[in-house]
Amino acid sequence: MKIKYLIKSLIYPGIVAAVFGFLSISFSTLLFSNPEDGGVINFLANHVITGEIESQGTPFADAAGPVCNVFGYSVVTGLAITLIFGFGWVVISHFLNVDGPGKSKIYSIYWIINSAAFAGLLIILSLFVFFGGTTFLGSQFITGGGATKLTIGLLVFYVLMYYLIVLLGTARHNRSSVLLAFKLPGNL
Amino acid sequence: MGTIRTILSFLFLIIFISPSLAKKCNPPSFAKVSTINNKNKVSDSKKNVFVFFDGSQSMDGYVKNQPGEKNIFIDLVDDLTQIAEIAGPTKYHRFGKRITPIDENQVVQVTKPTFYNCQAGASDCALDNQETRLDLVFKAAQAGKDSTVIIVTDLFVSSKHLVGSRRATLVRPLKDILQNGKSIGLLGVMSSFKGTIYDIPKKDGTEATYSGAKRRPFYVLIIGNDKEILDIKNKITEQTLVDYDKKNYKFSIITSNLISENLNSQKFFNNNTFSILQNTDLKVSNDINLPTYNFSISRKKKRLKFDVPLSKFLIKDSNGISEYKIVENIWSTNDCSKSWSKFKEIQYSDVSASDENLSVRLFGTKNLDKLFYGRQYFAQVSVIANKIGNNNESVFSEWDVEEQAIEDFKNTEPVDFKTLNLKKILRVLNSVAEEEFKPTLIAALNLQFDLEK
Repeated sequence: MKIKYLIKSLIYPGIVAAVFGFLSISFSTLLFSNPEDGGVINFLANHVITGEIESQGTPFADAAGPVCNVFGYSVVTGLAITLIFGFGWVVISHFLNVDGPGKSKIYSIYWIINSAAFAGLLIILSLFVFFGGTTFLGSQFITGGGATKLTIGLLVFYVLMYYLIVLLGTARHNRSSVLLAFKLPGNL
Repeated sequence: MGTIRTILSFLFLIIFISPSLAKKCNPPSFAKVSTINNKNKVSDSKKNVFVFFDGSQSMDGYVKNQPGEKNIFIDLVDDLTQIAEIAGPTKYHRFGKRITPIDENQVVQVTKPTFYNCQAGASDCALDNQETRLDLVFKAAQAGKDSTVIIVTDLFVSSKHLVGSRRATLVRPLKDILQNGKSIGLLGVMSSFKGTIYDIPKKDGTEATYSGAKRRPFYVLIIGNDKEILDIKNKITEQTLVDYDKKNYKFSIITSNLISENLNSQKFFNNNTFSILQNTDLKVSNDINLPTYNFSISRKKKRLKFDVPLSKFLIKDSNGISEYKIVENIWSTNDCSKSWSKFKEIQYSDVSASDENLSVRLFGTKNLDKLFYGRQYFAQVSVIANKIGNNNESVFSEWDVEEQAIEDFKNTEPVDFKTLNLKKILRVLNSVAEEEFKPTLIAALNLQFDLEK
């Protein structure tokens, strides 16, 4: 019976994942293709890539390519993290027993932990790839301000995707544990 | 499916392949620094030597014995004539208001008081031996381009001779002397003195005399090539001053050619010059001794450093260098098939000097960790002596007295008398040397390296 409800509750989160996933994959594909111009390149040039490349005479393309790769990597990894944590919670929520009085409040702690772990992992990812790490060649070309902007962008996008997935996918009897989700319009 | 495979391939490349350039690219094209020493070569043939003795009346105090004090002047003049004659055919002169030649046989008279006494009509003599026309001697030295000039004097020059047109007449021949690659050695020796010092300027504009001094410095100026100057100075110190207390004599060379030999000519650079570089491939161009170091280095190493003793390239006892400069050009590339990109702002290396050593820190101002790793760099670095120093002013300051202070100094009845305007004279000499000085290469080297994380 639980499996039936579970499969049923995966439909709406699946639609959310498909929409956000499509945007995410398209964007990362664009980044991995090393574009030479366009809005993304303009954004990177104006807000992300350090001006030091100019004083060191480094051609912009030498920096833009690696930065696009780093950015693309973080977009793909962020998507994977969001899917794992979002659908992970959706599945787990169906197996939580909240029949006892006050138990839903206890289970809200699990949701908070899951959400915090998700956000924390995204932040660690950003720290790892944007803020001066040496694993990726492109990291060295990103300024502190640029790294902050990319991090905020990733967080906004994937936190929204995660929240929609858990909002629409959490088992009905457990919705009270998902903030603001006890009653949804349209009897969803 | 194809897109996913492309993405996965990219991911694999990003994660597992660390960027590095395995081979060294062809260096960028740039103007090579000339490492050839432009210094005038010393000819082995013997040169004419001209010796000038100051005949002013104040000088006679050096040749009279002062009980209890060592008379070094007489010994030095005796030895100096020998040293000069070994150096080459020697001609002797006496100077005061004008220059007059001295017969070889009469040179011994220099050590006798009669040499400084009036021999002709009193009025003419007074004018002749109370003036020290150094400018005339410098002019003579300037005319004898391929000769060595030695001047023995008390260097007592009043301020009026160091300003305006009199200064110009002093400076003009000095400029020519230094322009011709010659230098001026100044050996000051404190000697016994028993006589009268004339023309001591007073504050009211009149002049006074002083006879109470028992010791007073005299000076031997040697004009010639650095090597000749040092040879003569060394012979004087080895023969005459060997047992003389070192605090009683001082020496300095005023020259516009401070660099004896640049480090490239000395083949200073080798595989051990930079201690942090292991397995360096060092190539030195045969024609100009320009080293190019090829290596890979982690940006964590931050900088490359080498120290070199000043004595290795700087003329000993010279005025020293007050300002060093690094001239550098840096290029980088991440692909040998592409052209090198030249840095726009260059302030990566620095140089500093202590009393003993010169320290050159390549990437000392902006460290290697400020450069982008995963690229190959080519750096062309030259260390330049940019400005001449004025060490001799402090060396001789102990024996200097200024015109405003000499009356008060005289009133203290000093036993050791000082030299009027000595520092001013040195400043004149230094300013000429500074004008003629051209920034000179100390060392030039190239670095070609892969910068790793």
